[in-house]
Amino acid sequence: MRLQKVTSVPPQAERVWQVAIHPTLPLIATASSDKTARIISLQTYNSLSTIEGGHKRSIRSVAWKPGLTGESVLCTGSFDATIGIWRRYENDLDAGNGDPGDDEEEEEWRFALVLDGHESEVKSVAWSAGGNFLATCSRDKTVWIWEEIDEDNFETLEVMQEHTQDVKCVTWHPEEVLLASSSYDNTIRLYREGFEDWVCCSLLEGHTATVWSVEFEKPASPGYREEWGSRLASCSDDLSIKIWTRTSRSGSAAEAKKAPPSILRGESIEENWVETSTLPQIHTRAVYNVSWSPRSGRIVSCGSDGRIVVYEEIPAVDTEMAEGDEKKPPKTEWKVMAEIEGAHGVFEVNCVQWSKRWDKNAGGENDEIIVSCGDDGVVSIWELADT
Amino acid sequence: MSAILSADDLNDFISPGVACIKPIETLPAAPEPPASNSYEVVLEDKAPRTDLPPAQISLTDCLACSGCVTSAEAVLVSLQSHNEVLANLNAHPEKLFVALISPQSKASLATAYGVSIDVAGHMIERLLCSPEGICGEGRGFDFVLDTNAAREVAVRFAAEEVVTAMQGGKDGVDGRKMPILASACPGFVCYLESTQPALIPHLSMLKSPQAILGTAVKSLLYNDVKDGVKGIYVVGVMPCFDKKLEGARGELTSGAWVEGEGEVVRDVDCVITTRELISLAQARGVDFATLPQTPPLLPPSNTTSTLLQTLKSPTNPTTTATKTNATPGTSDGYLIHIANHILTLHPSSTLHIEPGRNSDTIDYVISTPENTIARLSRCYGFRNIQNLVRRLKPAKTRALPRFGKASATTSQRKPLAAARQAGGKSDAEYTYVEVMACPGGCTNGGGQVRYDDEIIASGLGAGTQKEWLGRVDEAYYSSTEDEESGKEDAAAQGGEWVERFVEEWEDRTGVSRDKLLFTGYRKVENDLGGRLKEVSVVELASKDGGGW
Repeated sequence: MRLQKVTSVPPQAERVWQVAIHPTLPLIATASSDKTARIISLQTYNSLSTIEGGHKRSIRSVAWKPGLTGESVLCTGSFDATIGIWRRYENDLDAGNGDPGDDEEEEEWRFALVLDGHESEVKSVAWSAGGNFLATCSRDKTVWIWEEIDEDNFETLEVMQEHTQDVKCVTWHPEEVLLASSSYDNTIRLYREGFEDWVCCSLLEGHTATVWSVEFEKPASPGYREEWGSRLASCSDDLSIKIWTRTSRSGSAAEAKKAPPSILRGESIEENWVETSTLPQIHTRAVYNVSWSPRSGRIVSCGSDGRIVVYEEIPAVDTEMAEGDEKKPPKTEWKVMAEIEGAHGVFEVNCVQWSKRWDKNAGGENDEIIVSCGDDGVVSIWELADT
Repeated sequence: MSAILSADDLNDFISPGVACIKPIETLPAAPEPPASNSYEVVLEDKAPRTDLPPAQISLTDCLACSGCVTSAEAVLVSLQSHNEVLANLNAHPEKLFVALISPQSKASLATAYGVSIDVAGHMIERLLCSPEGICGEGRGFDFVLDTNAAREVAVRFAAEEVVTAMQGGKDGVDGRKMPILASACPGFVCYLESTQPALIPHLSMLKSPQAILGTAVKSLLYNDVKDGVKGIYVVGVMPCFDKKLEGARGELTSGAWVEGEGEVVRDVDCVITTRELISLAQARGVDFATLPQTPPLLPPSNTTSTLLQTLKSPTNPTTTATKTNATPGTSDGYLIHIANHILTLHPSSTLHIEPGRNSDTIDYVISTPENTIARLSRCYGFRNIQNLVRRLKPAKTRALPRFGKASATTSQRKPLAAARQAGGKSDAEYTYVEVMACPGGCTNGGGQVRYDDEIIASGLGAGTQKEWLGRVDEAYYSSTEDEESGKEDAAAQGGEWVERFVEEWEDRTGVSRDKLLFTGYRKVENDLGGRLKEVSVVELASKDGGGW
């Protein structure tokens, strides 16, 4: 298979850091150095509106709030150390493919509020699966968890200083209230809500350089296997992409039997995660982003070398792994399905995301595309072609 | 830099800022190295950085800059360490050495060595003043004071300040803004001064117990010692590193209360943490655990002011009275004392406790059946401070940037703003907030003995910091309970004692209580933005934090 460009959206003035796919609607949001976020239609690939005026420096990260109907809420994280919350009613969204040049569209985005508190650049923002919690991380080494207690009134639930360096990425588990963060300190950390505080419940070490981004596997993914539990993909400056699998968590029945209850330790919420795969190394420079498709189970990566690479898991032979009490998830192999060099010309590719295909050539619910963005300010759409 | 001051030990949740102004200002340009090859082009960023002197950063520099919020592992606190204390003991044996011990420090050591908090106090006195302690190997301290007495002075005047401010209604009086925020936590004070200056008018003007006691020692004794204010060396033993910053504040010096010219000295010369006190003992070869558990018999000192001796006397009734069953909290009990005071002024009122989202945020509402008289709140830890600050910020700084075409958006924004006003309680109704930077309050200060410290007597260790902290809190509360026992009208008695003390203090020194007990704050300018263009910040960022 090969990666084939469907189209490119005319460039923004400066580099695009990130693209975020709307959870239900055919929309992309971009985060750009030009201090704006742009909304692009996934039906026509036209630019619908531009969100601007809220930030003094680059918008580094954007995230759509899930679980809403009739309204879209976008969160923007900026190098100006603040986080913006924007709202827009979606009653006329179906008209979005009609007249892209319509200026009226733009005015419907309302700047709802600004969240400050971080001491330096915000690097990543993410909503939890139900949209109850917002996580943000920053170069100030902290990860913050916010909760919207009533409309447009956010409270800081926790400020976590577990990382020793710049925190690059935060992402939530697709179903559980479990947060992952990755950092310039080469580690990945996972957090859960404890009795009263949010606590770090797992530390994933193995990368030898900055971990640029992390993403959990969605349970809908064909490769997801209930018995082996959740998986997490991570990509790093050390050129590698790793898959981590949860082997145990306290609270689960198996764990409860093993460990006698301890009054001293209270209820432990620790989790054990092990590295179970390393994807073939194609990238020759830092890998900036990975995205794990819920439709095909494929992983796509991009990086500083300008490449976009698609990987597929080789189905594991169902061998009986349980020997004695130690159950270990199988180590699976991944193969490269397609790759393209110079996806954005000579520029670095900052982010790639899988999306359902919504355009006129869409072939059913499981048809998918890849959205990429780069230092050239361009957002490109890719499809996997058979030849 | 003190060996124990490391990132691991700091749990006051305040980290170094993006960029400290100090290195940027002082690093000299690298001298041109003798060229081995005169045709070689040396790029600026590859120029060898040899011969650069190490940057010197003092706490005073840090107070003048908001590049860092407060003390952090990067700050060289060489001027506020146990080594500095030892150096002064050795170099200036002629001075009068006084140590001020916080009750939280005593609670921490009591838990670590398995003794009662009173015994821990005796052992500290033995350590600092007796031959079994550090005096065995050189100069020691002349006497030790407990900050408990100063705490009673502080809570008494804190209550007065709040009640006076309440009379001004929503806007307070004398430009003060409601709610009044406790100023005893230097971490929080520095945070407000450098990052939230708009909230400075909320800060209580009252000095902390450490500062009050420091001022008392120097102002009452300097006429009796050779060299005046310079002849006294005061050391605070405190639960957190941020107290070092308080000690270094320009506002808290003899300049605030000595008339005329003359050298200005700090009211508290040096602050060490609880853990550093043990390092001090170890440096003089003393094992704290083996110290006698009885108070030392000190030779009567004729230089010690009799008025100060009243501060030392353990028979002072505490003002942390028992009108309520509420725990006084781990941070000197400001809130509870103020609540009791307001309850006394309004005999028909009752106190109602409203737990918050976590144990570090609790509301205390004083009301009569008809109306609410006061709402007080406890707010510990950075996450809760963030919520407090966000709600207190003037509307202006939360003003929404214009987006798109303004005309169309204005009308739509109104309902949102209205919803925000209606939703949740406005903080304007708060009367007082006991704010502390550390989660769990002062017993959990970054300078305390941690649960996994090697000095903890065998068998006394705890599995987690949380469990450990529970025991320290228990020890801390045990002392206040002892003092409270059987004192129905303790508040009134304590009030009288404090009033007599302060009057006599004013008489002896000829200085008004405004100068002895109160202090001020100032905005710390963050001029990073002015001095550095965004480009250079970006360059700095990519060098320092690993890029984007």
